[in-house]
Amino acid sequence: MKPTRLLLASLALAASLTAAPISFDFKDPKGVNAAQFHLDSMIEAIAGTASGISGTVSFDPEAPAATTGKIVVDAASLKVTNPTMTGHLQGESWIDAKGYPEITFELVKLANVKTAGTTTTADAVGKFTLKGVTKEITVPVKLTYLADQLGKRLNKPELKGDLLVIRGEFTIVRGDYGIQPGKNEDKVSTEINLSLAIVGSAPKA
Amino acid sequence: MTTTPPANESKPAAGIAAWRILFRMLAGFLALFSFAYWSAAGWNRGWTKTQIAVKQTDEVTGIEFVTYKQHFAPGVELVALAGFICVALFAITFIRRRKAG
Repeated sequence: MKPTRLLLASLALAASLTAAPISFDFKDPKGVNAAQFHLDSMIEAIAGTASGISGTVSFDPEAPAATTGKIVVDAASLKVTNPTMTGHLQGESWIDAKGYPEITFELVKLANVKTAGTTTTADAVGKFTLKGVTKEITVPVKLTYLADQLGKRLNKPELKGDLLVIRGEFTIVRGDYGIQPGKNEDKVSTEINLSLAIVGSAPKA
Repeated sequence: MTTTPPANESKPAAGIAAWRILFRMLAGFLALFSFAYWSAAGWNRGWTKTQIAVKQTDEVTGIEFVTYKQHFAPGVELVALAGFICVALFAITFIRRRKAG
């Protein structure tokens, strides 16, 4: 093979490698990832977090619209500042963390994708599963791709890799997912606000 | 013209019994103590908490996340319970024993 052809072939290979989607793992080593929930209630609002986040997202900085992935939340990691209330929320009449240990969001497609620099905004259309009930929902999301920031974040400069931050906020109706449908509506709001701010890491070999 | 009281009505006490004074003092002390403790512990007008949420920010990503710190903050239900006990203690001191015959 002539040197020119070899060079071209190498460039083509390099281009195809850089354009490949990157797989980001959302099990955060720093334990920062969490979904936050908020619902109005008598006396005071019920607000808490679910920190057991895992899952993977495949993201191509050159083609954000092709993003795929699944985020999993461990239902037993859901907690509020009152242990009795935490027990009730995890119990059978609420999310039933023992019977349905995972809350998931599986991305089907990204719509209305707009990218500016390292930030992409889009509507994430996906299958949201809570307490065994799956519904297709649309969540406005913001994805921020932070190239070569993994080592800096973990205070390990020798570690090479990228980060992907996903932010999203949406509202669900608890009755739609079998959570006390039609019950205690005068005491606890029927709507649950959920917000997500999570980071995935993709170490480079 | 004079009227005689019914036979089953008890005579007015000459003074207040010691246990009544004690119970009233106890009720007052409990009311003051519970209010002072609730105020000092953070004036929490919600339910009782055993932890408080502390917001922090991850430097590189800018993600706001919550950590939990052990902290007991009595809520309105404990204040209400203390208030109920105070009222009950105070009310007991007004109970009069009926004399037979």
